[in-house]
Amino acid sequence: MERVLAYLQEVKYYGKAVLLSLEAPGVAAEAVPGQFVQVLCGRDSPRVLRRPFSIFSAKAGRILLLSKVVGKGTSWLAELKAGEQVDLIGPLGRGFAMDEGDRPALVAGGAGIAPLHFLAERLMERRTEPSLYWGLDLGEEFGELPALLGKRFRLFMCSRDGCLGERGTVVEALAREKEPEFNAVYACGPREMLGALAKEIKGANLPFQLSLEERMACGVGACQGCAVPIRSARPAYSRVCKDGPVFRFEEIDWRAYFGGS
Amino acid sequence: MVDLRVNLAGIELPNPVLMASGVFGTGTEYRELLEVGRLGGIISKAVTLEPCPGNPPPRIWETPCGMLNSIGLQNKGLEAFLEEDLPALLSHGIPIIANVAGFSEEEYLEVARRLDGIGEIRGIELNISCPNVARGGIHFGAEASSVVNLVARVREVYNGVLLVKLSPQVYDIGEIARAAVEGGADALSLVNTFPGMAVDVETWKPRLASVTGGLSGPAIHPLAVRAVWEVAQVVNRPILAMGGISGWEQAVEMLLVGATAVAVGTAIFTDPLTPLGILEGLENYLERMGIASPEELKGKIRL
Ligand SMILES: Cc1cc2nc3c(=O)[nH]c(=O)nc-3n(C[C@H](O)[C@H](O)[C@H](O)COP(=O)(O)OP(=O)(O)OC[C@H]3O[C@@H](n4cnc5c(N)ncnc54)[C@H](O)[C@@H]3O)c2cc1C
Ligand SMILES: Cc1cc2nc3c(=O)[nH]c(=O)nc-3n(C[C@H](O)[C@H](O)[C@H](O)COP(=O)(O)O)c2cc1C
Ligand code: FES
Repeated sequence: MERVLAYLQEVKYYGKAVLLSLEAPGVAAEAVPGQFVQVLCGRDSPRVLRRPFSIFSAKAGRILLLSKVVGKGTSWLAELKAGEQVDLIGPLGRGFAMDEGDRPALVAGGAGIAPLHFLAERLMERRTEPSLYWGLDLGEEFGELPALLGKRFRLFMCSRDGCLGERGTVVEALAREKEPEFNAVYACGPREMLGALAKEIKGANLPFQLSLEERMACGVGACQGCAVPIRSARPAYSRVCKDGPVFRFEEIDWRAYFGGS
Repeated sequence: MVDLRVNLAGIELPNPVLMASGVFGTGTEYRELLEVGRLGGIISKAVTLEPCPGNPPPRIWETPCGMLNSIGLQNKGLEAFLEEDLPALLSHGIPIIANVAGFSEEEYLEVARRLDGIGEIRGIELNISCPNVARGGIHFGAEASSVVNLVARVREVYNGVLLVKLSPQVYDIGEIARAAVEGGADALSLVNTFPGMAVDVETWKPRLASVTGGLSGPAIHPLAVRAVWEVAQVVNRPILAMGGISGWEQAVEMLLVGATAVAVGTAIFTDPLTPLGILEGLENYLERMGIASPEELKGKIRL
């Protein structure tokens, strides 16, 4: 882990998202799929809290971050120009365990593609070809990115509006597969998606890892801000930033996670 | 030559910039981001007698120039604190103060009693000001009579340096400070967070699962300066000041209105080098002003 002022080499725009290519040799060398960085958003009077972003790719001294614009911090990021510097801390958290099965399914919702893209790259390097399922709300949300990824990976696209790939959610698409081709599942996406996915594959007894999101303050495990309820005899929480963001399905208290505390 | 050492009610601090309770863990979490050993000291996260799970998430929300938190005193309990956290805190070689909390008077007393005599802990900061628990916390700190009573009982069982951490959310903070001193406090620590709340206008739900939380960060700085100022005028005890300190100027402000030392909270999240930046800034400032020690700034505001 280190804090760096990373030189922004390139910015690419994909629909409502930007892909930032940052020079951060230390972070890139250390990063494993599922880990994230904490980015300071704003320059003169920055946002008080850094924003967490999963590492989309890390190689040759660079990391890529894919940020979907949803609010103030991500809007600021989207306006950055190549040549500027970005203050970031990373790599942070616990990443994916990668030796779970030789036919993994990677299930992403929206910007949840980021850690799974990195995972897919690393799996391919290990000669494991994953199946990547990526669901979007709107087919055009990530511009040309799905088409580009389709050239490199075995990719199944779904969109709720039906404008790209199959109409519907990724979980519905997975459920339609009669003979599941996979023997391990990795997922990242919105809460509802993870809930539906958990229901869908609960009985299958597959190794199942998920990357969770929670609002963060420190990002390094010091403040207990990013609590996620875990299964235990009495109420207990783990930290998404340090114990996660990747958890095994069995670790989480899903009932508490989805509302009831 | 500037000498940054200060004495906080008998605690010799290498310099007057500490880390506030609840934001710094055991310091080991930050070891790769700053030289922890250069800090003036660390105040631990609240320690309760039994393990406390804390509040359900979300616990964090960013506000203009600040943040709300509702951690709810999550900690491993006294036993695990002594076994796991204390050695980690001590590993940095700087003064450690334990933040003590409870859900009942008995709990405060028991924790204080068990910490008494542990020489490596340089003092305790009695947290009678946490806004994030339904029982205890702020409820002990809201009325002068209950403050005198609780502090006096803790005083009986704890012989080390006793700091009492005050809530800013009281009608007259000077009166509460006087009550803490009457009870036997050696020093006062202020401010804790201000109770606050935020609502999501799309879902009509509160931003925090616990509905309300504590506001901290630059947004509360002027409120904290005033609180320190009020207290400094009515009690003759050293003050450890905190609230929105994010640069050396804010630290100096606190000293000028009467603080002996300061603690950094929320600002560490924005920039982990904040406390060291404050230290350097303070040193340069004192040099520029021709002042030998931060203690010479104490209460020197010109009215
Ligand atoms: C471990 C982790 C990895 C992430 N990776 C990515 C990624 O690779 N790409 C990406 O686009 N996004 C990612 N996110 C989500 C991203 O952090 C948020 O979208 C971002 O913080 C929003 O900042 P903002 O200032 O634009 O939004 P704000 O103005 O702060 O809020 C806008 C909305 O975003 C939500 N939000 C704010 N902070 C967070 C947060 N920390 N986590 C989740 N939601 C939040 C708010 O609830 C609100 O609804 C990740 C989140 C986590 C926890
Ligand atoms: C995430 C978080 C956790 C905190 N936990 C505690 C705590 O356990 N005990 C306590 O006395 N104060 C706690 N505080 C209050 C801080 O120590 C400090 O008094 C307050 O945040 C004001 O300083 P700041 O504006 O610099 O953050 C906490 C604050 C934050 C932001
Ligand atoms: S954000 Fe502070 S512990 Fe996770």
